[in-house]
Amino acid sequence: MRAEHPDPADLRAQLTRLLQEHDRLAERLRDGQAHFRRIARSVWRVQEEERGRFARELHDGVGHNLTAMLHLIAGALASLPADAGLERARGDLARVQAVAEATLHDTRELSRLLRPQILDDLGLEPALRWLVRSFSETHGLAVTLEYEAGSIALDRDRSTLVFRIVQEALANIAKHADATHVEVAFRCAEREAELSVRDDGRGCAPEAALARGTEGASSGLGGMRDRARLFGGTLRVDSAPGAGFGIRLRFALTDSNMEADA
Amino acid sequence: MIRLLIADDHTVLRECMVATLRASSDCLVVGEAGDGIAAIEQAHALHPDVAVIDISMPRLSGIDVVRRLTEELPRTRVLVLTMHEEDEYVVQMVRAGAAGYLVKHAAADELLKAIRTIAAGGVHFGPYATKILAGRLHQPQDLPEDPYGSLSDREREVLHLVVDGLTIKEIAIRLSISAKGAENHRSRVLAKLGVRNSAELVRYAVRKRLVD
Repeated sequence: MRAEHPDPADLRAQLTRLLQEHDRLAERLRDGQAHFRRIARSVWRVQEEERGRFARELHDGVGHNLTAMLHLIAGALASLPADAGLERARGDLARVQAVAEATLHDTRELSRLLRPQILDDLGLEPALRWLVRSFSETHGLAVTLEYEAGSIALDRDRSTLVFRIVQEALANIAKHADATHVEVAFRCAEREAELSVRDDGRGCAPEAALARGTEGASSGLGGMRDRARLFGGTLRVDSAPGAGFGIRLRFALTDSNMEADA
Repeated sequence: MIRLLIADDHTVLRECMVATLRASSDCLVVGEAGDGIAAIEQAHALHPDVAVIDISMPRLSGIDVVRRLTEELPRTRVLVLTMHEEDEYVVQMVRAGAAGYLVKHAAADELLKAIRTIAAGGVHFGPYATKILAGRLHQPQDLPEDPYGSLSDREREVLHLVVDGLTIKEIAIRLSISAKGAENHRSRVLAKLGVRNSAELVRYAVRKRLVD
């Protein structure tokens, strides 16, 4: 049987239709991805706002009440007459004072854990300096921070992104790295920013760390990468057994740049 | 009389403060404000000698209040009274123009002392804030002849505990840190002081009269 040759004009028309259909599908996919990214970002933003509200409530509400309580106890102690019969009452008040002080300390810690106010009050650089200093004090590691942003101010979401990634990276170093030195560097250019966190610890094969992270176990690298993607950013891992561990995050400073690059 | 404006959105604590100040013979609270904007308005209306300002306030943050008061009312001096203990806040508030910085759980006596000093044209940063500001000026490289000066507060604590004969585990428990953290601090102390082990560290401490 002899096949009939299709009409080339028909074929061209069919091909054009297929290409148009492909373009439409690709565009719908891009729209869908952008839409999904916007939703994921709002969920993340709401979560951070919620944490911020709780943190502020703890620090400013409960914290202030405890501070007022400490002043009232101090006042009561000062007004007790120097009578030997009141020794017991004095001792009880001093114990109440100690409990209130410890509770105030714990309340502050809890508030900082949720979302440190310094990030909203003073901005990213002071927040990172505080984070790096307190981490270094707690874990006995030498941590340096280089911050170069000139006059560029990051928006609130991107400041949170950088802060959370540094926080997560430092937590990983404390848990897994066996390091003595950590270098944190943040640089902002006109359109793009880059963050790197690098330690001199035992390192590992990057694939293994990423696999652990995406499986939801320990390292949290998968989560960091997902967060970077919400901003059209990339997160690269640079490590080898015995050669330290490093991550490098790059992202656009505005959403228009992000959509263009994505 | 020292004329005072107190700006703090936390009513219970503000009342505590006002009661303390009322009991003194030389302070007069002329105005109270519960947010940043009200603080600026009251300061313009009342021209207090000293404005006691909280950092975290609704409508306008304490940092902006301090900045504006310093610019707009240079004769009103500002004392920051806050819950925030982080170094970065102290530094920012000094840059904004504060003449004093106190944490809210400081004793009532210290608040009075700070207000009097500031009203008389001085500055008062409390033992806590003074330590931070001094630490910012004394960078390790300024003290090459004494490596002890380059130790952080935590490293000094660890040094003294090692010299007192505590084991790493005991130090970790005492400072509420991990044993690895304590060991890292000890290694850094040894490296900075140029000694090889705990015995040499004790000899260093004796030589430097760091122990009794």
